[in-house]
Amino acid sequence: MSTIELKDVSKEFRINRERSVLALSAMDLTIREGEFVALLGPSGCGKSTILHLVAGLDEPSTGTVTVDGLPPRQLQAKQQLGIAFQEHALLPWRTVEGNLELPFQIAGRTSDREHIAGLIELVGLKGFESARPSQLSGGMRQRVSIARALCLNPKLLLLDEPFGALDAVTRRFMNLELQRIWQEKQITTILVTHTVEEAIFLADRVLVMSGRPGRIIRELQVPFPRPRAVETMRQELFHQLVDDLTLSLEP
Amino acid sequence: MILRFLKKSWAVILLLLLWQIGVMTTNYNSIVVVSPLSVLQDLTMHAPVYIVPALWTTGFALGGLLLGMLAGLVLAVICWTSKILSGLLQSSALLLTATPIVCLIPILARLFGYQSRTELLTVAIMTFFPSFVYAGSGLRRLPQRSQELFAALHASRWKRLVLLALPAAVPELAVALRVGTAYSILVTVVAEFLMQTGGLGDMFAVTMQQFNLHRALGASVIAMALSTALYEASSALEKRVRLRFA
Amino acid sequence: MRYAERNNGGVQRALYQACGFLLLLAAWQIAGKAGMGGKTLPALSDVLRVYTIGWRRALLLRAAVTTVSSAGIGLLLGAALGCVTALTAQLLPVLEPGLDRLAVVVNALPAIALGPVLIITVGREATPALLAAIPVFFLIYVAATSGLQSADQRLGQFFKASGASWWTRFLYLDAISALPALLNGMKLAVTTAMIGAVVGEWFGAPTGLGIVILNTMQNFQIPLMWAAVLVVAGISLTGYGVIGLLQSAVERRMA
Repeated sequence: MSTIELKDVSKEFRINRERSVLALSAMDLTIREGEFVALLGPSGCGKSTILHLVAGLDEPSTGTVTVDGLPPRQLQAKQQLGIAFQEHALLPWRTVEGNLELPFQIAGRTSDREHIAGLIELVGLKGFESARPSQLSGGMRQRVSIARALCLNPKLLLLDEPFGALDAVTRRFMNLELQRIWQEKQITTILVTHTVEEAIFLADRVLVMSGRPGRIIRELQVPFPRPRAVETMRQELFHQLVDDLTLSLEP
Repeated sequence: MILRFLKKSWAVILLLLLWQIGVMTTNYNSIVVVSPLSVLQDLTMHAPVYIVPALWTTGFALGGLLLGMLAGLVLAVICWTSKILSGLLQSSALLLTATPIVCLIPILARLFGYQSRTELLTVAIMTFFPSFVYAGSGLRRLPQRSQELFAALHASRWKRLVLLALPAAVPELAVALRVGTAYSILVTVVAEFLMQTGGLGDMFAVTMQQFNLHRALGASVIAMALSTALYEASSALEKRVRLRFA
Repeated sequence: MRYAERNNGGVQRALYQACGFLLLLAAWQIAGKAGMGGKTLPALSDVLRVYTIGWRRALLLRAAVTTVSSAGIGLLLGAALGCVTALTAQLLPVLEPGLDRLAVVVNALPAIALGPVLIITVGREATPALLAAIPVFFLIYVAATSGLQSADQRLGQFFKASGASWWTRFLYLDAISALPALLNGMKLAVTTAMIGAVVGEWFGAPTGLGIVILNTMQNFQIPLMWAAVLVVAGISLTGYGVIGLLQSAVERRMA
């Protein structure tokens, strides 16, 4: 079970002795097990802060964050957290395979070669096992980064604008790929993004945020059944929802 | 082949030519000023004389280099583990970086004796600083967001060091090696010259006293060649490391 | 948060560094008093006492002036030569491999070999400055070369696309981008120049700190020898610090 609960969470960042910024204020949020939630908002609205709090990389100023009733640090300690960033964060001196072995080595487990080979195939990088990050394209690096997040069969997957640095065409293609990959794993997932199409296409629920202080201004239950494919994006309803949410993002 | 050699060495050849012409046109006494050709002649005619001192100097230079690099790396890792130690060691390292170590050779000689171990120690101290400084910054030059990744996976301090910080420091260590090799032969030679403990520096000192200038300059030509070769070898290594790690 | 951390971290680090510095001096004092290094390692207080003795202070001051002027001339000469050579390599890339090797070979010239030759050809007084200039030349050549290549490629393309002349591009982009690397090189070059000057004096200059160090070592005037070494270190450290401040100011301006 992994239900994520944020209760009355606020987060303040101090800039200097006099000034501080309220990144989140009185945030209440529940994410069910197996749910794919997208946090949508402009940059600086505190959506990455939520991700950091859930990952246990940061502590809330007030309120509590729990995953299955436990603080996120415990999930960290059990290595049940998969995380991928906009910056691929791959180790440049390791091959694709070596980068996927890294989580096993950090956890002190023997690397599961079969599992790694399966993940490489899942993200469509068969044949690139011994390539180094510098030899891969941006999209391919993000694939490795996502495969790495899935290495230890995490209970919770956190994606911080994973395709933010990609061009529109590659990005759209990667959305389709992520949809396919997620369909196979169905892990509780939080995706942080500022692209409306990406949020609607991938998530079960989209939370629209506004900044200073960060709060949720809108919530959308995505009506499209899974598995979703390119056709989903061509539906009239899809375009309507995109327009609708885009409008609510405008200040 | 020849063209590539010329492309890389034209400036050095030009310098030697100017020297040769300079000696031939001015009428300095040949005891005090020698031409490159006559040095070359001594080098080829009496090559065996140079072998043992050259090996001796190379051995001490590389030994000291290894010792200094290792000490620098170990100290940088110790600094990496603690903010307090980092501050403490940084200030002493800065102080010693700014201290002209070569000027300390007389003191080191007094402290540790006019022996080969002092020679080794001098080179080690000299190469310690680049190693410490570059390793220190390398251990902190991590790939973007990798720290958060390791935190999210609850990586222990040890795993962070071995899997992240140390490999990340390899390119900087290669720079330190290049900088260190640039000094190692020269410092060894100066130490040998001052303490007369054998090697090319000793050979230079002895032959100078005998007014055997050809032999003395021959010894320094060998030292130059060794230094240049080591420097270019470590530069090549650095290039390869950069390709592999970036 | 980042800002706050950096500020606190900076103050904290400076504090730790100051502690480390004091600790080092204390360790020296104790080791000296305990006689751990025999007679060659006097206590810090004994070394500092040298500076209170009038005629010794005058001696050190006179020697320091000589050495600093040699090092200074060497620093300027070497830096100028290094910059000019780096510029030549930048302007005429064909020459670059040859100039690279020349810089390496010149740097590999053992001071002990060059010293006697220089004494014969340029005289005792000029030798320290020239010996200081050589390693400075190498350092600055390397720093300037990498600095001149450090300009943002996109900015370079922008200058090209705007039809800027080589000179405009150099003045407004390359030279400015090279500043941090160049200052970093200069910072290291201060120590190098001091070493060059002191070693140069060992070959028989009439005065200077190198001569004081050598004579006191031979006459076993150990506190005076340490006092001279401390002066050399102090001068290097001051130069290092001043250029370091300049460098961080430039870097902050350019960040």
